[in-house]
Amino acid sequence: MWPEYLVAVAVVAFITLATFPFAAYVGGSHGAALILLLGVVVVGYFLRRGPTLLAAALSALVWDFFLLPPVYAFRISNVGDALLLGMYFTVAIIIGQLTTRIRAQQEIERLRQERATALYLLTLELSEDVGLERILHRAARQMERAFGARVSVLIADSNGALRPLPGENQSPVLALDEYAAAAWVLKKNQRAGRFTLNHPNAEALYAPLVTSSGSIGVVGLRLAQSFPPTSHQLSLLDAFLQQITLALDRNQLRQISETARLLAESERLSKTLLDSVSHEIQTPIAVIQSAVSNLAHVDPTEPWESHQAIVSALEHATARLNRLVGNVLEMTRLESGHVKPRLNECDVRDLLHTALSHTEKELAGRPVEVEIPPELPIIPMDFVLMEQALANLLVNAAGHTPSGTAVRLAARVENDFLIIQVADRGPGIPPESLSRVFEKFYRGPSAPTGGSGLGLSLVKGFVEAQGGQVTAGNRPEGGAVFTIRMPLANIPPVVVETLS
Amino acid sequence: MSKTAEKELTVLVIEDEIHMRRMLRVCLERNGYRVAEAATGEDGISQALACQPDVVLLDLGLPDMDGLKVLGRLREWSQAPIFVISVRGREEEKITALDNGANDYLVKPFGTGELLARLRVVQRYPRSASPPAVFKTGGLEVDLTGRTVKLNGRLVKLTATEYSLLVLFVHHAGKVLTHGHLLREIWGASDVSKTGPLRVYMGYLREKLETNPAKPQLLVTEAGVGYRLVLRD
Repeated sequence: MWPEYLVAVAVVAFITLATFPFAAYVGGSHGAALILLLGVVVVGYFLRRGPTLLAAALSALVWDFFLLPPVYAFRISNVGDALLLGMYFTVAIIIGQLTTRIRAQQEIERLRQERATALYLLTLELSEDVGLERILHRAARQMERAFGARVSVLIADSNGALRPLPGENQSPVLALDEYAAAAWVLKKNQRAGRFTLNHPNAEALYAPLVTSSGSIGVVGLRLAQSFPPTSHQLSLLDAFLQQITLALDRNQLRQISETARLLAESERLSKTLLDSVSHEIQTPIAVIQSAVSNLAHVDPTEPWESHQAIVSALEHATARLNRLVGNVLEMTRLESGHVKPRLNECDVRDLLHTALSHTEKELAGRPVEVEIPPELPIIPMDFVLMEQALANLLVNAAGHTPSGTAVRLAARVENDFLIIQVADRGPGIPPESLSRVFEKFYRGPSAPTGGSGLGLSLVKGFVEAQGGQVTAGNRPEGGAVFTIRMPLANIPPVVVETLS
Repeated sequence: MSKTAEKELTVLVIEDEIHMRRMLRVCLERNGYRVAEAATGEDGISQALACQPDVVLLDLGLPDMDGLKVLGRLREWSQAPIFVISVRGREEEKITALDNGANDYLVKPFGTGELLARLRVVQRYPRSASPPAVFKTGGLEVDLTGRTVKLNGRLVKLTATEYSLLVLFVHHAGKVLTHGHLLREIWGASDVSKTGPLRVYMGYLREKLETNPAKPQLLVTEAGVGYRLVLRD
């Protein structure tokens, strides 16, 4: 404060000294009055109201004493001069006032702008969907910028104990005073700490972090300044905390709605599962039940051949049930993450033929073309998973094509990938189904009865578990084709002995 | 429904599910086998001591003890073929059972035709007999003393590794040999996850011994587990 008064005195003294010798050249006492008035304006622009008033009064006195004739005396010789001095004093004060006010206005404007910018930056940072911790991290950084303070965020755990936000670089152990202040804030939901009446010994000023479901933690500001936060800073702090609350609420709502969406999705899936699987399970069970009651009431005099239909119905129904249950179990294993592929060097030829021999029954009566180049690299795959994937594709081909049509199984190497294709000569896949055939429980419009809608999604699961890809398409010459692509790996060739 | 067994073989069924035991008994007796039953592991072990079965069918999920333990206890004194019958179809489980002395592994549900086929193999090659000097299956003829291999009467030249691999199969004809077993026996490998050499040599053996190497009839693949030398007439 005092330096400002000194500056005011110095400015007036300087102008007086500078003007005095040249008074005659600047229009005598009246011209000098204007120059002194300029000094008051300058002081009013840069200093507060008090120093400005001092400068105004001082310059009026100086003018009267040094410049207004008779000089070196406060005596005023005529009414005109008295009037002039009175007006000078009034004008100096008014100008001083006006310039201070302009300056104050500018200051307010500046603070307002700062506040708007700080809040804008905060909302910008918090508008992204980033989760609780990142929201608080970002808010802390913005508060540090806006307040020039060190900001720490403490989060209450399930026991109500406060812990620093993970990732904040500060020691996890708080000084006792700090912890007491922060804990009080959390409990009372009011500010405390430095510059407040509660826990004023703490180093930081603490404010509660509130969401619509209650306080979740405390934010602490270690202000660099030695004076209490100004009303502007306090209102900015309020605005910040409000924005953070909004962001935290938004985050919570987003989480709730995401959980609800997942729940609805899983409910829809389990309903589809139930619908599909219960139908698929009950049909063969119904067949078995009626076949068994037929057998129970069999007429022993009838020749055995007449019961052949019953036996084949039983065989067919059990096979179907067996396949379905197997698929459901595999799917469960896959989805629960229990399928851990054991990538091992596999002989592709062996793989393809094992798949064919396991599907001999399904492919009965169909010409099967196998195309394997003589030299194929040995490729890291899970033999069993890949064999199951291929067998599923072969069964799928058999189920979707007229009996007696050909099925083609081919392997080749193309651009660092092993390609295995299962192609058929059936009606192909309708274009609108192409993107959906691998979906769980998806049944194409012309799918035969007896499928679970799981076979192809298992293929996809098995292949992708090994780092491969599978796609569905149609052959230009008619029929569907499924393509498995496995990345090749560099396996050193096995050293082979020669005939002795 | 004719009785196919020349000599009545005794099959011990260790299985806790009564209906499964009943169905197996019907099927086995109809095909000329004598059947003994046990519902628990302990009972199974004492029954095996009492009736000296020619074959044991062992379920792994027993109420009183793990089937693998039963397998170990039986193997302490018995050389009788043990077939594991289990709903546990994972490769790791098959490998464990086979490496612990099981001769074969049938995953439930299985067709009785498959079971009978495996039993017939046991019947034809009684356990006491070490492989005959000249072993024959399908068109394959292995003269173990002369160290020659013939396919459909024509001499086949094998490398040393190929021959020892084949002999190992002959000694365990009809039985599944796990990758680990083969790698340890032939290559002395400690890391049994590196199956590369085995795949390559199996390819060579098939190339030389199979009529159609792409569709093996003699040396068949047991997916994820190992290989088996098939016994046929």
